[in-house]
Amino acid sequence: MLIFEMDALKTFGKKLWKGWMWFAEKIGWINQQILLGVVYFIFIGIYALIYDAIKLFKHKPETMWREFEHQPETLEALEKQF
Amino acid sequence: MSDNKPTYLLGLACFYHDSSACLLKDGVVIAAAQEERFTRIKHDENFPEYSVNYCLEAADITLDQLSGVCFYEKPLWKFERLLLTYIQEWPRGFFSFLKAMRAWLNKKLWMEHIICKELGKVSGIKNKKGKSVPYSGKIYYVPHHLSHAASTYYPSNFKNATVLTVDGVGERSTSTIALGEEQKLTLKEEIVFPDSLGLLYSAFTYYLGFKVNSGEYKVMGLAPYGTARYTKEIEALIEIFADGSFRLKPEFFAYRYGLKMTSSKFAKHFGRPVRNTDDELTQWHKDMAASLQQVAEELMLNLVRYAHKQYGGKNLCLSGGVALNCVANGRIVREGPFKNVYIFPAAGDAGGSVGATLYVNSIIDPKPKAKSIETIYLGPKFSNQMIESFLQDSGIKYDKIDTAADRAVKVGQLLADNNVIGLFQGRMEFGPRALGNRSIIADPRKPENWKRVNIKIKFREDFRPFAPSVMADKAQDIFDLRGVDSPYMLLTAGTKVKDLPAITHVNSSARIQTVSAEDNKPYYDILSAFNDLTNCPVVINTSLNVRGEPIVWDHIDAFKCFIRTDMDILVLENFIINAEEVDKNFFKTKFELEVFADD
Ligand SMILES: [Fe+2]
Repeated sequence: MLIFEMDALKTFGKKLWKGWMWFAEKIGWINQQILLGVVYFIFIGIYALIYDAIKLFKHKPETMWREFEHQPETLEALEKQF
Repeated sequence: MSDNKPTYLLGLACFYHDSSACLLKDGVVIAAAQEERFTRIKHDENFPEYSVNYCLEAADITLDQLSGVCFYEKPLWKFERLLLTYIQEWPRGFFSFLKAMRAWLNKKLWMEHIICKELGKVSGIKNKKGKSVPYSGKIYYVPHHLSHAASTYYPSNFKNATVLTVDGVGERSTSTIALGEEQKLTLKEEIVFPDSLGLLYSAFTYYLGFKVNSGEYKVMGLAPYGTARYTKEIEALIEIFADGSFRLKPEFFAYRYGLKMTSSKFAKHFGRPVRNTDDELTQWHKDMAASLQQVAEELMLNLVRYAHKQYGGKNLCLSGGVALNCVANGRIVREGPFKNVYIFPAAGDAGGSVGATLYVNSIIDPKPKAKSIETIYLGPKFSNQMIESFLQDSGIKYDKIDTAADRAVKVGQLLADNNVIGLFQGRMEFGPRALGNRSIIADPRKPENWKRVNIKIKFREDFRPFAPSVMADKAQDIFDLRGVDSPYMLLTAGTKVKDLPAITHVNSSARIQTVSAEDNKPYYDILSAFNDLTNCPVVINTSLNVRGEPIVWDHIDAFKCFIRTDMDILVLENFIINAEEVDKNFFKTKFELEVFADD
């Protein structure tokens, strides 16, 4: 009888855990969207305004070719992800 | 490296499209494969676990014997470009930003961790808790276009060469020019996102109702059926500079900020909406494809001429997805300023794994090598013994041929007797083309073969011609190749003869594979045997797969393909299986059941 109750409790616990995880995931997702929204409209937005201001002073280019910079030429440079 | 142990480098290309892995041993590529072949998911982009496993098995080594793992791009350069684009396009890129950031936050920013973990899973070594032990060696990140450039320069065997890479976009580059000098490769110039010839082609691929990143071939294939009457309208979308570089007018393209390739202005400009996949392909669409193809060829030739003007030389190496456009390649060979042109067969992103390892190797060991790649047949191979036991276990009737010479004669005879043959032999090709080891071949002189392969084997509704394989020593008599070889089916050229409709496009050109005994002796011998009987050194060559699936990789897949289609003969190494002696329906049921049981 006791074993049976323990089993039932365990199953219930598992279900509760699963439910919580589902809920937490959803909350996490919503959180992520809100945070990303803030990042986008505030941080990216500020940079965007600065970028637009700089763009006003840029000359029209005569070619789209430009020098390739920062080619990694050592193993240390290759180990970096940037 | 100081002792006599060989140096192994593992190359990886993944998480965008066409994942692959390759293995370099002492500077020579000894194995390479594309993940889609194993997983049977076309253009599979996931971590190439099966390909890695195959590479390690091919060399009989384990992860800890690797001197390093080479990845085909610098992830954080890409992230930087993405952020910059969102700054430039603020605020209309919001939804695209959300989607992209989810992918980056959940996965791509943790590249090192993911690569180590995935490699650990492949190695199968477990800790006490039963969890896989992650890879803990070095990882090198090679810029994407440097990977492309290395993948074509080193295998070209040119001492000095100008290298042009053109694709959709790498991290930020969309086209680059590099110089290869005595094994040292230096990227000199770049055109950057969003100005991209690859993305221009993809934008039209999308507009014409095909899938971006894979439907570009179809657009190219459609072009000969149209007339290039809209080049002016297409050129209106592009600003072309005096030196041939170009800028895509931003108002027509939406890929920078949106989830679509083209803007509403684009459709308005051409007066028609984006074609739905199921809509009819009209003459107008064909004319658009033809016009796009012509504009793309001109832009590509501009880039080639500029590269020559700046850096001179007589050798050109090409790579990047756009270098898979064999019609443009044909024009570069015929009209371009370079005397010699080499194109790496896996010019798309799958080839990035090879390029990344070759570049890292050039830093580790800058000494010139005799060869960096032995063959393009870099995939798995299956022994006669394995095949025979499969055939016996499955109760499949077969004929066994003892020698290679007898086999060539027999297959040549079967071809001459008008059979459509599935040819499975040797190591699998690396790159998007079947080059005789995973191919369907047939007599090109018979129009009925052409139709049969199209309708009952490849299940294609249209009547596009196939690519020909031709004996290299006879190729110049039949095709207008101007002395150039095309061993990887990357060039189109005019046909000089009139009696091969199955391989000749409406504009009298063909996408050619020249086959030499050095490149593929068993295949060459078959062509030669067929030629002895028919005086025709050409066969139809199309990939061994059913429509919508990747090319087969093993003999079991090959057999499954055989029973699902109307092929007459299947050649599995030295075994010949005749459709008349096989109850295809019986095996269809049997194998499909087995597939389900595996799942
Ligand atoms: Fe690429």
